[in-house]
Amino acid sequence: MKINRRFPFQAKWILAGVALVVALLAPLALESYWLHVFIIAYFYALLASSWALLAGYAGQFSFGHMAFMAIGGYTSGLLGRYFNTPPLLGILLGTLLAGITGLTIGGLVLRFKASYLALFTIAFSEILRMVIKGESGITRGDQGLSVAPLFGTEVISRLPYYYTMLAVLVICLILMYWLANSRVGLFLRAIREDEEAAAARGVDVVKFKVLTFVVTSMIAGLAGGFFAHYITILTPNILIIPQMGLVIAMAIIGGVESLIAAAVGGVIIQISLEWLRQFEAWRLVIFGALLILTLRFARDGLVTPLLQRIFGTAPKAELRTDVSSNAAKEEVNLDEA
Amino acid sequence: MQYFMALATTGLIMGIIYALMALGLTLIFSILNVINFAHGEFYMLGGYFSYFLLTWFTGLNPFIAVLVSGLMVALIGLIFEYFFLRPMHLGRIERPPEYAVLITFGLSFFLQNLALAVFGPYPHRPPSFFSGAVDLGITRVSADRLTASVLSLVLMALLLLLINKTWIGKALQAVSQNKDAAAVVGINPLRMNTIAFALGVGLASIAGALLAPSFSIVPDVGAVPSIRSYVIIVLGGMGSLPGSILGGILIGLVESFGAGYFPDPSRGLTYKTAFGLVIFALVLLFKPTGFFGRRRS
Amino acid sequence: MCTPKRLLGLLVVFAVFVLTASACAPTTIVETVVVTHEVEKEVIVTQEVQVEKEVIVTVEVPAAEPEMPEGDTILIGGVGPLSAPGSFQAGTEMRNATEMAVDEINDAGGVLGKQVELIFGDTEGLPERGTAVVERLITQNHVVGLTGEYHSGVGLTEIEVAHKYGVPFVQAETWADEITSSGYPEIFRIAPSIDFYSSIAVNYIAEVGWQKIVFVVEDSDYGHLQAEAWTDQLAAKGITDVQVYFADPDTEDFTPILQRIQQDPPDMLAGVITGIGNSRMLRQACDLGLAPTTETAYYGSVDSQYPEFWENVGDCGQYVFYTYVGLPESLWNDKTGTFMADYETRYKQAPGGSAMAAYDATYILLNAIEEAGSTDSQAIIAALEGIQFTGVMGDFWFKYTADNPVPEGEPAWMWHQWPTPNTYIIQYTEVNQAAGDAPVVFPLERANGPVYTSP
Repeated sequence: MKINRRFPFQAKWILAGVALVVALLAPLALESYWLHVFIIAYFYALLASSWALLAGYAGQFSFGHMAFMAIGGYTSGLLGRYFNTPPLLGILLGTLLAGITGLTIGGLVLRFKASYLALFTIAFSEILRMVIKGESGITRGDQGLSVAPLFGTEVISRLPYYYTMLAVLVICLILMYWLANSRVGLFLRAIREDEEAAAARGVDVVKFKVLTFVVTSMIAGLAGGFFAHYITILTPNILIIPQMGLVIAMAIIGGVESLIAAAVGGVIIQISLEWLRQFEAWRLVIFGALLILTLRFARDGLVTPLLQRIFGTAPKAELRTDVSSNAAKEEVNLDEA
Repeated sequence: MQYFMALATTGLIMGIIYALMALGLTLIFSILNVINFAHGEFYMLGGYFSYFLLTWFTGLNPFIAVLVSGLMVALIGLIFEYFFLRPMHLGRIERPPEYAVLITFGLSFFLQNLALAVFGPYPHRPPSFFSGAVDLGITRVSADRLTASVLSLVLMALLLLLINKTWIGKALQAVSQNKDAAAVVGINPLRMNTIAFALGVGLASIAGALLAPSFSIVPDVGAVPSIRSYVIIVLGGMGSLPGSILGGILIGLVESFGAGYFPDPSRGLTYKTAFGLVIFALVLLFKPTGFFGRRRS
Repeated sequence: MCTPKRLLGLLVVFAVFVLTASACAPTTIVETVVVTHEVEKEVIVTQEVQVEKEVIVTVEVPAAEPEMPEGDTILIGGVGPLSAPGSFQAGTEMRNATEMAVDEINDAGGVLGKQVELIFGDTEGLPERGTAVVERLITQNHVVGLTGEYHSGVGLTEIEVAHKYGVPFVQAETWADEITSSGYPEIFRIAPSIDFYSSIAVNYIAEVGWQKIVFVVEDSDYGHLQAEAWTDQLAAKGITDVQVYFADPDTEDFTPILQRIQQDPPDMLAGVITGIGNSRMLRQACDLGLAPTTETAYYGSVDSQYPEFWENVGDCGQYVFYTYVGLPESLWNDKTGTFMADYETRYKQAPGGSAMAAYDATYILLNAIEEAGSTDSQAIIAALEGIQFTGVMGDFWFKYTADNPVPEGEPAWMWHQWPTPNTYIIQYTEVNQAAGDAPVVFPLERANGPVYTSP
């Protein structure tokens, strides 16, 4: 095909650059309250994009993502409360614990098909939530666990938190993007499309599935840690199933095949939700409907087609050749896996 | 001993109702190979429709109201299946298993919030079938609950009759065993899918309507029954009707004894569900086919 | 190739997005504008309204102080649960009552000659949301005072924010002792503390003479505090056969635990669950023949006062009693009667105790601003400390203040606390009885019915 295949990549980077610049400069125009909204939006973007990596790339439609986020947050919070652990160390440990849990869960669900994986991870998430709630003597349950603010009690401004969350988001996105576009990502896609064929070609299915679980659960844990030290209070409500549903909705409406699309979806949806607060229950009805319709009619999400429209009509096949043609190209290299 | 029997009786009574709802889920899984993550929301709709029917048409017989809500919800299920699930079986959807999980989950999200927006958050309760309680000797049971249980038993019997003795039932069985083979002998699997889905959610909604006078209704009243249904079908074996019935009764008993005998009463009720979920997770890990399930073709 | 046109298009999209987002957020043009105290004194003397606009002095403000708006309105903030998982029923009536209070005051000329504007935030019953809401009200909306709140857990985090910014907050329906025992100068409370609230039920139990008590309590922050208070207080009265079970408020079926309790029926069974759980548990206890019966009395939660109670429990509601915070009909003053009628006309349903509390809290705050003669936080706080106001729930005043701190021997929660919050035991004696018609049975000096009517 004569169309310049590098076209989508180049545009994507310019787009990303622009978005980054806008994000960096946004605080000049935004009030403290809206900074808060954006910080939360970045948090959700982190969760949505990491879930997209797990689900969209590795095909693991886990409902336990918020549980890993909660592990990151609560670990740091509890360590801080009972051992006076400094926040950054707490977040690090929380992330590690989330990763270890991800390793365990990832290992357990290896052979599970989509429905079973969903059921199992729902059970995992709910059990964790009930334990946090039940052991309220330790976790303070619904009353809320107080968590030390990341920048201490003297700093009132939201600015440092804004840039921190943005930085975490950008760094994680870069990491995940690199992973997704590396050989690992290729193998994940192969596994997702046809696990048996991939295995037959020598792809270590187990290793890559578990690896993805670990990486994405660590990112969720990291997000949870920073979130906890920003919002300074944790309750078991952060991991109720409807919250997981919201993250899934963001990833799908944004575009579960693309990390950036999922992240963008997260930001836009969270901001819209805040904006539409006056409509109360109806705003979630709209998102529910959007989710169902997107799933049915726009499987790739809405952000990617939107970008396509802006750049003119790049045929749909073109964007998908990212993976399949690469797969074709690199087929020979699979033996090196 | 008296206490044991009392718990066993209430557990049995509830278990039968749980089984009815789980049967619906199993039916859907067995024919469509889809776990309906919105099952609880259809249960909820059954309760609400029944409530509104009885509020708007004050003279209406409550049993008719239950039946009519069942039919209304079945219709909704039919429409949903046709537009959102049938394309899966027509090859128009990529990666159907993920899609199935997500679309029913999305439906659940949508319906719960729709109910909240339309009906509001306050609890409601349709009028009783029969007021008062019934003294069974070992324990007392509310007349409503006993009615719900007896009717569930009747409906389950009818369902089994349908499955085993009627043409449609046999066609459903055929599709559940081997879709292609069924198509070869002239059964339209797509139509069977729609019937199964409508029937399945209809059963859930009838369970909801039957229990509404006992437990009252709120938009998220379906969340707990939903999870309970998953546990039941996994225990009983996905796709097995007798398995779901036994599983339902078993879970009813487990919940009753669990709460009744849990050593630490201050934590008992909180952990009751968690305990069930742990069992559930273990069964998924070690014996995913449950007690009666079979490997799917 | 990536044409400039397309790139520009992209840039426009993003720019539009960010600008729209920021446009929706009101921007303060100058971060450090403050009307000095001297100016406000001038205003009082000359009684002119528009002076503030012209006499503006830019002063460096330390970060902790709230910014005070110039303009035609006085902004106050209201907080409460308007959606799940909060107790939206109480929160909604609190918002209604607060709005009504503000409208009435505006119709009467407003405060300091200006109209009052209310911004009511939904805390959803979540501490993290509550803090965000209060912070937004203070830093973005620049409210001069806050009123409301129903959930203690949320209130406790909110007082930290109010204290940080030094903004006065009259809490209407939070009961946790720590709300006021915190000793924060900004915080005032008109609701009873848990300590006080529990004592009413405990004294009632002792009065009737029940010895064997079982509590089934919701597994929440409130539930744990409440259970602890009751157990301790009953023990102090020599009633030690007390058992507590905790249950998730969303529990559908309490039957197993009720059957367990039925093995050894108590003299009194309490179902302290808010929301739908209140009706469920009562009906299930009733169906089992456990309570309310001649052997076992039934103590319901505060939700028993709402109209849906009878729809959801049927005949089982007869003989149920509960603690009511507010003023029962037999004790109304003129203001109460007017308030009840006006509320019912406006909102098409009878107000509960929470509505009364929110109404009075709002009036107290606005009266304090009027008496302070300014919107300066310190002035309002001083006015609040000295307030004497008759509201629909009675005569309000705060006993212990900066000039008269809580002495040794008095509980710390008496700080900035209304000393005589109206807390009564009410019992339904007839089926479908309206909450207003049900007799007050305790404290005895206010009772207008027999202390306990048995089935």
